[in-house]
Amino acid sequence: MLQITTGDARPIFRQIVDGLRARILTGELPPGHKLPSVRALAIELTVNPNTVAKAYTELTDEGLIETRSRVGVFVCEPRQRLSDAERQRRLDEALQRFVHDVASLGYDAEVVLERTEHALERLGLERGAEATSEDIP
Amino acid sequence: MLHLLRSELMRFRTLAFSFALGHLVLLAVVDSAADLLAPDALRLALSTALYAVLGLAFGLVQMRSRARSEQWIYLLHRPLEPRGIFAALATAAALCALLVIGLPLLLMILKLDVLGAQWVDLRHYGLPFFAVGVSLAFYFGGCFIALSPSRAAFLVLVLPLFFLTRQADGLWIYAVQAVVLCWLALLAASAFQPDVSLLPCRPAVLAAATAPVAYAAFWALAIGIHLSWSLGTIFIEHGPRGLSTFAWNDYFPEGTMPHVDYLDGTRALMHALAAEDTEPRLVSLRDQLELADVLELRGLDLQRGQLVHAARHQPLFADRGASLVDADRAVRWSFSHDRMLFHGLSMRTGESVGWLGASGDRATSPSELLRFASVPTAVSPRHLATPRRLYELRRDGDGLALRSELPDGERWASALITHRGLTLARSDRALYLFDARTLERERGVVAPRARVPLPGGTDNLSRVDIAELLDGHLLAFTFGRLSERERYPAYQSVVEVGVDGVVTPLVERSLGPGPPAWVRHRGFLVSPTIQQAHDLTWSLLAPQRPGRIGLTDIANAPPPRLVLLALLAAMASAAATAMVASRRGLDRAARRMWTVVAFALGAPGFFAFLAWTRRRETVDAPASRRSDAASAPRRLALVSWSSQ
Amino acid sequence: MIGSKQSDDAPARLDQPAIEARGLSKRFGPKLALHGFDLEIERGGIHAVVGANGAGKSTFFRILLGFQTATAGTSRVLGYRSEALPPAVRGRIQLVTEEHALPGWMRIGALEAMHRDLATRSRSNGGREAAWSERAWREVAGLFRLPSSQRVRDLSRGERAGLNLALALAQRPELLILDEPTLGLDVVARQAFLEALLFAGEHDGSTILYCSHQMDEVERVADALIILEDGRVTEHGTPESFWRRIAGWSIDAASLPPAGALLPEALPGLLQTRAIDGRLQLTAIDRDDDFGACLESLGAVDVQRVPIGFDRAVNAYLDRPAA
Repeated sequence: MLQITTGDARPIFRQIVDGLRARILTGELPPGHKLPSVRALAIELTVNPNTVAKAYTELTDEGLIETRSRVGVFVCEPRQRLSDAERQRRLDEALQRFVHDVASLGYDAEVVLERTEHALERLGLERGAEATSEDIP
Repeated sequence: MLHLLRSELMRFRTLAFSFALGHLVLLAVVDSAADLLAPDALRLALSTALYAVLGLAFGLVQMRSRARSEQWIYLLHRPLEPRGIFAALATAAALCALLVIGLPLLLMILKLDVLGAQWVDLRHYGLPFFAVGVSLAFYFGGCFIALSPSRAAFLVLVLPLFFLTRQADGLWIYAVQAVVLCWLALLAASAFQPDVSLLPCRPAVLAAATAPVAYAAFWALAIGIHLSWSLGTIFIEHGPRGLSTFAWNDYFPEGTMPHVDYLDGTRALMHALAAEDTEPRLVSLRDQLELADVLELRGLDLQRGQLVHAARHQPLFADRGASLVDADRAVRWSFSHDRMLFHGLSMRTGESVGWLGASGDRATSPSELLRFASVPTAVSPRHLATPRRLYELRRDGDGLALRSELPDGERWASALITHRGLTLARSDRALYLFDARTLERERGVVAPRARVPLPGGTDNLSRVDIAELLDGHLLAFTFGRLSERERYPAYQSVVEVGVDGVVTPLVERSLGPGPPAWVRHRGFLVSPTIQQAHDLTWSLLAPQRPGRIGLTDIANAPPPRLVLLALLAAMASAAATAMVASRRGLDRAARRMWTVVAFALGAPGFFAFLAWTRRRETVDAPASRRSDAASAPRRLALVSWSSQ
Repeated sequence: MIGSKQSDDAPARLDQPAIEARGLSKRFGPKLALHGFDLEIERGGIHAVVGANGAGKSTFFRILLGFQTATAGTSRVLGYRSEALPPAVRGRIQLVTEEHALPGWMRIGALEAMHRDLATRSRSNGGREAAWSERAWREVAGLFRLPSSQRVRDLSRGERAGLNLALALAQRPELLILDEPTLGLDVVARQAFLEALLFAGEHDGSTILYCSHQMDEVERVADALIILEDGRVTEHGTPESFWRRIAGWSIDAASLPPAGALLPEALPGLLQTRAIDGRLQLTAIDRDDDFGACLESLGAVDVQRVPIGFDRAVNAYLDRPAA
């Protein structure tokens, strides 16, 4: 299901979070889908179970998954759990990183924006899909 | 622990079995060629050395293969006390020793006892255990050497050498062995600890480790003094090339004990007579001597039989052998301590040929015979000495014939030596001269041609020189075997024995000591304590040994000058110890203890101190090395400009 | 026997850190192997220990278990002084090393029986319910397919490592020390080893010290990262927090003078410089974007920040010039 690589620029825990998030957002893992237990996923990836647990906690904080005691971990119905301010902060942070990485590549802003749009579309995010007004400055 | 023992046995299983088999084959070969139960001194020394080397090698291999590697951690890092782990390994080693050394010996003895006609004493069954004990003692020594961080650790091997010398008598030999075994086991067990780089610190262990090192240092220093004196003398007198051309009897002044020691028989007699050179009788004797045949008696021939044992069931390793050989009939008569009788065995067929008793009778059954009161000594292949009687195997092969009997209170004390028609035998009081032809011809008791009373103590007797004259014999007794440390006098005494057996004392001259006092008393100078303890120990362990001393002898100290010198040496070694100890960062109590030890033991104590203490590790580097660290070349961040 | 008597005298001291070293120093002749070594490891978790060869790892472990005596300083393990570890406490500490220390002449079955017996004897009335975990033994032995009739010396390197681990885990250690356990193992064996270490048995609450040169293993398993250099602990924290402090930069190599400019004095925080195909790859610690500005002020052109992996971060840190 998931692939992680060591020696990557992202920590394993980040790779798990990103990977699962992408799969949930693209609908590959539909709401109500049962995820492997921490131990099972850790065995599958041969990583420290604490790392998987940490990744699950982060995804739970983001409202993407939930743990039902004694039953397992499930993908949530899409809903927003983070405060607006927090979402704003995270978006800024991510953009900052993105802009830094991209700036030196020498592409026109046009190309970058277009490519970004495509990437977002693949994740199922379209322009105007989000109702909140102060989303994109 | 049982698991560990089993595992260790498993490890050495193949090795042990193959060695046991090899040993058995070796014993079988020896048995087919010689009497296994009556070893001569050489064979005894060789076999003991072999068992010792096996034990030593096993200890070294078993421990060295583990200590200072990860295996050491695997072995000791487990929920067991190190003592228990060592006990398991040592038990495995003991079982291996029993298998490799004890079992083949036991099997061979059993075979001789059950299958052969040979009579086997109870004491023979002690042999396998003694051999295993020798091996185990060296095994513990090997363990200690392999584990101890001190390079002086190998010196503990002076301890088992104690019983390799065979000097201890009777059951003492087992007592000595038991003490040495426990001693070495204590040392090895104490060195068996997680951190093998730690020196012993418990007082008992420290004392046990100090004693052998000090003892070895004592001997090394004593020998060193003697060697440097003799080599130094030769250098000074004869130059660097003197060593090859030097002759000792040229060096020692005439009239000293060592000078006589290096003379041949004729010269020894001549020098003895030269004391009063104007006496006409002596002048004529000297003329005769130039042409005379002189027999020189010294060493083993003179002393053999001195050590007749009173003990019954004497262990084999202390046995000095009482077996007679009847070459004409190819019969070997071996003495049985159990029966106190001789048992005869045909050397051709291996069949029993009967028993010999104290009355000289021979019988097929031992019960009819009179037993010997004490263990006799074979003084020649055909002659036998009990304390008072001299027997000979009868020519007809039918028992023993009494040839001579000493008066009450006198004991036979030498081998029987025949030389040009003269047979000599020494008791502890006199030298007996027999006519060899009479002894050969007659069958019964033979009166000696002459009895020459010894002009001195038998322990101190160094040599006897006998010249055959036209009308009798000229004898020179040289005393002074024990004169080196002035406990006994050194002198030469010449007597003339006429054809009629009349003994006439002629001359007596006293002999001076050869080397200077500080060389002769080197042991005392190095360490009075160790020297006296050494003498006392031997006197206790080997009561029959010549030169034994008692408490009165100890009070009889060397000249005051030397006592002062020994005291100064002890103080110097104490001072050196105190000085080095303060630099080694020892605590107050340890410093004081070592200083006292160095004073009590002298220089050997100082060496033991050097061996068993170490400079304390400090975080700061020694001053000389600090500069190296500071000047280490700086690494640059820029690494590979050249690759562009 | 001796062991079982001891367990009463050596109660588990769970409130004390698993490992505690204070100012530990060890001198070997002119060389100082440990140099004021301070380390405290809390109970639980996997602590990766990383350092160049000769950084003092083995010396530290030997001192910790009482196989060497420190020149100065103190160390305690599971609350007990290293130089006087009671045998029962030794039973609660397991050590797995790369070097082959198991008795090669024994069969696996006998070896297992010996260690099971030792463990149950020493801890029969100790704190934990069972001293020998049959499950852990079976799982690990199964993972490595260890036949009990096989002699230890006939095992492959991987199987030997597995056997070591199986014995260690089955004894349910409170502290498990692994000293480069996967050195020289092939990929399959390494995978099996990690899997067994992470998931076999029930080492809840046990503390694992994992020494390795394999950064990918460290990245996978470590809860905490301890970096040793020249006999000192220079970093101790989570791998992420360490990693976050390290950043990579890339500049045009021709734009800088060939020497002098890249000394740490000129660029504080510079860890490592590598020249690759006309570009200089720089690694820096505790420097933000101002490091780029700093580079530009030195005349560097085409300054770019590049992401770096965990292994490169650690390697760059270990490779940094001596202060």
